[in-house]
Parts: sequence; structure tokens; C-alpha cells
Amino acid sequence: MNGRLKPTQDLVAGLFFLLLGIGALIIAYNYAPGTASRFGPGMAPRVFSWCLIVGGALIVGRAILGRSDAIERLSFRPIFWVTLAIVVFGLVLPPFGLVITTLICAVIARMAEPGLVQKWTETAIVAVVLALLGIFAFVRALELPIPLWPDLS
Amino acid sequence: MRRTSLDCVRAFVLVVAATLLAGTAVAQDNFPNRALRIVVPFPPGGPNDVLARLVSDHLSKVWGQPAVVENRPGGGGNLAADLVVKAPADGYTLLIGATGIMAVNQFVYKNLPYSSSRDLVAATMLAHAPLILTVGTHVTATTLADYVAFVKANPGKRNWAHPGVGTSPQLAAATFVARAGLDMASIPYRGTTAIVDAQLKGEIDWTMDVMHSAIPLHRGGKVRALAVTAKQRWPLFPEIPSMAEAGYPDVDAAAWFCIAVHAGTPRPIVERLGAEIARGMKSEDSKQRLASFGMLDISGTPDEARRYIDAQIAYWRPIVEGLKITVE
Amino acid sequence: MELFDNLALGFSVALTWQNLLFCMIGVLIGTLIGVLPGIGPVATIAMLLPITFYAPPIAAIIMLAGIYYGAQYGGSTTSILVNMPGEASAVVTCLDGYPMARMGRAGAALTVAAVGSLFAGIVGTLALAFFTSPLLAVANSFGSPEYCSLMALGLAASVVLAQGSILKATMMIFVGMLLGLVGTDVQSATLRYTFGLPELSDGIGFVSVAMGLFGMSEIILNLERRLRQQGVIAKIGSLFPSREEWRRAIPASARGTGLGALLGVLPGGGAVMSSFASYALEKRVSKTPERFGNGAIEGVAGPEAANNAGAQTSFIPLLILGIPSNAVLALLAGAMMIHGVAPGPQIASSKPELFWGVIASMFMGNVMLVIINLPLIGLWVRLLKIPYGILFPAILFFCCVGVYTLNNSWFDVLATAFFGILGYMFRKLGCEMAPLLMAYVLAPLFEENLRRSMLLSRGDAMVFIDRPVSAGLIAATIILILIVILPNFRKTREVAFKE
Repeated sequence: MNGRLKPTQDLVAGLFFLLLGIGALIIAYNYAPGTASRFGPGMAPRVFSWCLIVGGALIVGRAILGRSDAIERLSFRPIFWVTLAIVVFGLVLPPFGLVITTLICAVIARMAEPGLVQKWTETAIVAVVLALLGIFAFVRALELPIPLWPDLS
Repeated sequence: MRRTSLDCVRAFVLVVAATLLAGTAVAQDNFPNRALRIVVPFPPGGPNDVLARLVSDHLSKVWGQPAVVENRPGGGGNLAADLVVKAPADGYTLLIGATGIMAVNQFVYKNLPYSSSRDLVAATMLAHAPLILTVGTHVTATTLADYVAFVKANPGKRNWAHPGVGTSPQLAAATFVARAGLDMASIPYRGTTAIVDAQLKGEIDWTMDVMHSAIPLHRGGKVRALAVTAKQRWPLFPEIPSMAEAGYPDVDAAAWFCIAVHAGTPRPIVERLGAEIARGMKSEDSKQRLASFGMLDISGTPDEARRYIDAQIAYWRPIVEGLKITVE
Repeated sequence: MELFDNLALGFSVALTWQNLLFCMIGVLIGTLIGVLPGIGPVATIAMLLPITFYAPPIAAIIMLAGIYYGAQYGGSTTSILVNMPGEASAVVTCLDGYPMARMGRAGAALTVAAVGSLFAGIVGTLALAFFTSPLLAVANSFGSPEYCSLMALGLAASVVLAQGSILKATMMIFVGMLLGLVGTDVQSATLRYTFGLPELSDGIGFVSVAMGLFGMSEIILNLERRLRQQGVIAKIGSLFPSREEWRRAIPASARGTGLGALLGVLPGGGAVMSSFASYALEKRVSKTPERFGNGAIEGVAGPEAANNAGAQTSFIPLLILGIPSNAVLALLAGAMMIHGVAPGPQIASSKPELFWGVIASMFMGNVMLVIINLPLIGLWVRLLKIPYGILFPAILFFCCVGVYTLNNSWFDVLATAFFGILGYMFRKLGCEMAPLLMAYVLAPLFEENLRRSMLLSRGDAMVFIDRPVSAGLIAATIILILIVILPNFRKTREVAFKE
């Protein structure tokens, strides 16, 4: 048992479960619980939330009293760029079409690793090849209903 | 939406020209000059989807422009309707409209992002079919009257099933239960196939099923069709009595489908769409494919569609309000 | 023998050049879309429907069925190579398939999956031809209470998928259950946890959750490992399994096939359960359960066989009763109707050439699939040699396109990004995601059947114990929970005493 509280794996996970349970329980109060024989829509959310609260508290307690692994260092660079690439794909595709979206997203994705995007020829090739794959494999061959070009109307 | 860049430029020039002329005459004359899309409010496989693909097949052949079918399931069809309402009012985005979107949802859902009467206009009806009341073979009654008598002798013991609150089978079935004064439990299932499964096992007695699922089971002797929810017998299956014959003329619910577009679409385009789609629906091939789903073609003009839908709204409104069904 | 006459009739139909060609096209397309993450058979079959308007009905149905079981074959590929499960049944393949790939054994995992699938596919088809009535009897004994008990057993067994802390795994199950509740409640039409977003009214898409938690978080983690120059993927070893690997894989495949054939017949949730039940079973019967999750070949062989056997027997409810057990088969039923063939009880007697022709084509299709897939394994494994800087944007791209086309919705793509971050966080916290994902799939079915059972029994909870099948499943659930909890308690006490 150590004196100072470190954000160990178990402590953070336990707190996460605990807070999620409390949040879900508060929302669950908007749904009718029903009776023991005729469950309403609120019964299952309440039961699951309580389980999370109790379990989360147990994990927090175990983390404070016992030992738990430290959290590995987080690297924000890949999280940021990979997530951004997906979000941009979702938002840019409907108005601008698959081709432009693919070109933008390929560049964003390659930002995730240092020095990668600066290999500009490789980046350009990756982007163009993926865009061509999109045109020919997905839209021409599989006939998926994806817009290819911006909607100018 | 497949387009070459040349088409793009052409479309762009057209739009600019149309805006400059402050009119839509140019756009109308060569409608359609690019791909259309047909939004289906349900996942692939059901009658909505099949109708959309029939329409798509016909339009792309006649007009030489692809008509891409896009499935946007969710929220009782409201997601798809909202998508079409937010698309430009140019007649390029078509919606497969049905009982929910066009008539019932406005009374069932509390907060709809669109109003079907204000924001959508039907170009043509497509097809319709009544629902069928089927009982499982564990039920001995062979007529609706027998069955009603059986339930009245066993109050509170029998069950009926529906595929979700606010769907037309549920509303039609609830109307029948109310009119017949039955004391039964209603059991919700996820989708019609789950209901049929439960019916074969005797878990529930009856349901209001759609034609294409009920008829093969009826013919194969796995369920018994007791009535079609209509005033008359259905021409495709004249052996099944109508609800009116059984004494419940109020239970008159049909599954019907139309093609709807944004209400702001220029009238000539709506009429062109309606006329061409109706022509496709009336072909022998389409009729045969419809018949395999138990449906009959009712395509026609936009005005006929308006009258059909208005009559449906007038029919459903008091029913939904009477049953006090709302969804947040 | 009438059966052999029927099969002979079937093969005479399936072996015409035209039908062989359509079968070939079907399984080829199936393999392709199975390999592309996220692009499922539902979208593909829907797109191909109008094309089949112009083909003869039998050829069209043979082709569409080929796409369905072909996709089951291809589905394992992305799970093993890049940790991307495209559907629920592929989740468990990730658990040991991907570690095998990291150890340089991707070829062995893919080979075992393909050969096991052939075996399972053939056995499943035989079951479809010979044992329809006993299998239907199993399905018929499953009412709402039995489904409820089966889901309870499944939820309890989800803990078995975990390797680390049981308590954390249990909590992940509850997180998954809450996620599964998002959307419209079937009974009351109440919207739960939708936060006013209409896109959530039918729940969170499975592919978004699975791709995000497993695939996207893996990409982020891989990039991070590369930043710190650690955990390089081992050199690719032999494409073929060693004798020792075969020895472990063969009995696992056989058990998986049996389990899959049985569970595949249950409409609604049966097929999902099969691969996952097989994994749990393998881990239980293994003498070295600690190898599971670190590249145990049984953990690939069993579930892969189970989902392919299940894919074949899931045709039974459709062809015999007209009940499609999942979205793909519902689509297939629609396709049959377009061709004027109503799937239902009378189909075997009124259209024997179609019924037996399709069954016979499945034998041919399964053989073709192995012939197509075995040489491809070398190619797939070579894909892993592509520099990661090129490979990962491509994986991202395929996933994004796949997720988008499911509902043509940008919302699903954003949800994938969200679950990617969540998955990364869970990994850093030592929380395992397979139990979450299973619970997310099973919880809505569990709740629905529980509430329905109570409605049907007029509030009498004894219904779960009075019915023998349900009682057996409940007993198995309790035993399983005890097996998991008791040693854990002892361990905790030992730890407590030491301190």
C-alpha cells in the first residue's frame, strides 16, 4: 500500500465505470421502471447502471488498497490524426464526393507518423491509388451508392 | 451517383444558367440530365426495397441515367424522409413513401423534423395490398367469428403479436381488438419474421401479417388466414374473407407505397416522374413481380396519389388518436 | 432411396455449365466482399438484385446464396490480418487470429480457417440435406423463455473471453449491455440513451462499434509502437500449419462444426452465438487455457468452423418455414419472391429442382471456395509486408467506405472514430473489449426475450424453470458463474493473506 494516489489502470477504469454507471442511472430515471412482472423500459438500464456503480466502486477500492499496473504513456499524435482522418471522411464525403475526400484523408492519415507525409511522392501515390480504387472497385464494380464528385446542383 | 467530370461541368453551367434566368424552364426541359437517387426508408429485402429497384431499373433504362437505390433505415422511416426534405427540390431525389411516413407518423411521433403534407408531394402511387389476419395452426377456429367466440370464452389468456408500437399492423390489429371487445395481451416482437416464428411454435395466436410473408405459410398449411383487412376480398386471393364480411368494416388497413419528392419540386417535373414511373409499373413484368408479393399496381397521376393519401390520413388520424399511441 | 434421388436431381441442376458459372461468380464476389472490411453481403446482394432480374431464378438464387456463404469464408481474413471484425461472428477470430499474425503465423491461421470452413461447410450442407427435421425440432423447442436463458448463458460466458481481471471484464459486460440498449425500446417505443439524435433511434451500428474498438484502436496502437520502435511484427513463417498445429486444430474444427450446425438453426441470435460459444468451449476443454488470446490455433479453428456450419444450417428455417434468420437471408427471401418463388413450407415439394439444386450447389460452392482461397492466402500474407505507412491509410480508407455504405450515413463513420478513441483508452486501462462486444450484441436480445417471456407467462418467473430446455440452460449459466467466481475468490483471499 502506498501513500500517494497514482492514476493506475484500475483506478481510472474503476472511476470510469463508476461515473458511467451514475450518468446512466440518472438518465434511466426518465424511463418507466414498470413492475416486477411487467418490466418497463427503465428496468434494465437501472439494473445495469447499479451493477456498474457497485463494480466500479469495488475496482476503485481495490486500486487504492492494493496494487495496480501503471498506465502506459499515451501518444496523442496518432490518436489525433487517425481520428481526424475518419471524422473528415464522414463529414466531407456527402457534399464533396469520394475522390476529393480520399485525397484529403490520405494526407491527414499520413500525418499520424512523423516524417511520413513529407515523403510527398509516396503520399501522392497512396492518395491517388486509393482514389482510383474507390472509383473502380467500389463505385464502378460493386455499384455502391457513393457520390464520386461534388454535388454542384 | 456516377458522373464524369464533363457531366459535372455541364450540370454546373446548367445551374448557373438556370439561376441567371431566374426560372427553372431550362432545367425542366432536359430533366433528368444526371443520376437520380431513390431513398428507401427500410433495409434491403422488403417490398419497399423491391419496388425501389423495379422503379430504378425502369427509369435508368428509359432515361439513360442511373437511378441509384439508397437504403436509409431508421426511426420508422423518419430518417429517410428527413433526408429527402433536406435535399434540393429538383426532382432528383425520390422517396419510397408508405403508410408510416406519409400518413401515420405525424400522429404517432411527437417531434418530427418534417411534415409530410407540407414538405413532401407524391408523384404517383405504386402498389398496395391489405394485411392478413393469420392464426397459428394450434388455434382450432376456422372463421374469425369462431375465434372471437373462443377468446371471449377464455378472457385474458390468449396473446396476439405485432412488430412494434405505431406500425400499421399494430394499429390495425389494435383497432380490431377494440372493435371486437377482446381481452387479450399484445406481445411485441422485433420484425414480422420473429412473429411468424413464434406463431409456428404456438407462442401467440394471431397477428396482422403482410401478404408476401403470410400467403406462402397459409398455402403450406403452417398458418390459417382468417381475413384480409379490407372492405372487399382481395382479387389475388379471393378464397380469404374480408374484414367487412366478418363484421368489422372499420378494419381497413392496407400496406401501400408511393413515390414522393420534395414539395418544392417544379410541377412539370413531378408530373413527368409520375407519368414515367406509372408507365413502368403497368408493364406486364412489373405486374408479375408485384403479384408475387401479393400486391396490385395503383400507379397514376400526382392528383390521384394526393386523393389516396388524404383518404388514408383521414382514416388513420381518429384511429391513432383513439388508441392514444405516441412515440417521443 | 428418395433422398438420393433428390440429391441426384439437385446435382443434375447444379452441375449445368450455367449454374456452375453463377455459383462461381457468387462465391468469388462473396470472397471479395468478405475480405473488404465493413462491406457486408447485405449491401452487395441488394446492389446485385436488379441484375438477377434477367437471370433464371435457380441461377440467381444459387449465385446470391454463394455470396452469402462466400462472405463467411472471406470474413476471417481481415480479422486475422489487421484485427478488423466485419461482423459479430468474426470478433472471436480476432482474439487469437491476430496474435497469430503478429507472431508470423498468419498463413497458418488462414489455412486452418479455410480448411476448417470447407469441412464445416460440407457437414453443414449435409445437415441441411439429411437432418432438417431433427434440427427443426431443436429450433421449435426454443420459445422466448429458452432464448432468454440462452442469452443469459451467453452473457455469463462472455467473461470466459477475457484473460485478465474478471471484475473488470464483468464491468465491460455491463458497459456493453448499456450500449446495446441504445435506441428504441420495442415494447414501449421509448427512446433510450439517444440524446435527441435520430441516428441513434435504431441503436448504434455493430460495425461502427466493432471496427472502432478493435480495428481503429489497433491502428493507433500500432502507430504508437512504431513511434517507440517496439513490438515489430515477427517475420512471416511457413504458410502451412505445423503438425502440432493441425493436431490442435482438427478436433477444435470438428467441435465447432457440431456447435455451429446446431445453433445456426435458431433464428435471431443463433448464428451470433455459434462462433462465440465454440471459442468458450475450446477454452474450457483446453488443458492450456492460458494460451488463448495469445495465438492459440484452436481459438481460430473452432469459431471459424462454427460460423460456416451455422451459415449453411441457417438456410433450414428459410427453406423449410420461410423464416429468414438474419438480414442477409431476409434479402435472399426477397430475391426469391422477385423471381416468383415464395420461400416456405411447400417449396421442397412444389419446386424440388430449385430446392435440391441450391443445396447441391452449396457442395460445389464450398469446394470452389477452398480452391479460390488457399492460393490467395499467400497473397494476403504478403500484404503484411507492405510498409505500414502505406498499409494503414489503405485500411482506414476501406473501413471508412465500408462503414459509410452500411446505411449511407456519415453518422456511422463518426461513431467509428468515437469508438476508436474509446477502444484505445480501454486498452490503456487493461480492459478487454471482446466481452463488451458480445454483451452489446446479446443484451438487447436478452432483455427483449426476458420481458416477452414475462408478458407471455403473465408475470410468472417460474416459466424459466418449468420448461426443461430453459431450465437446463439456466443450470449451465449458474454452474458457469460458479466456476468463474470460486477460484477467483480463493485467489483474492490468498492475495489478501499474503499482504
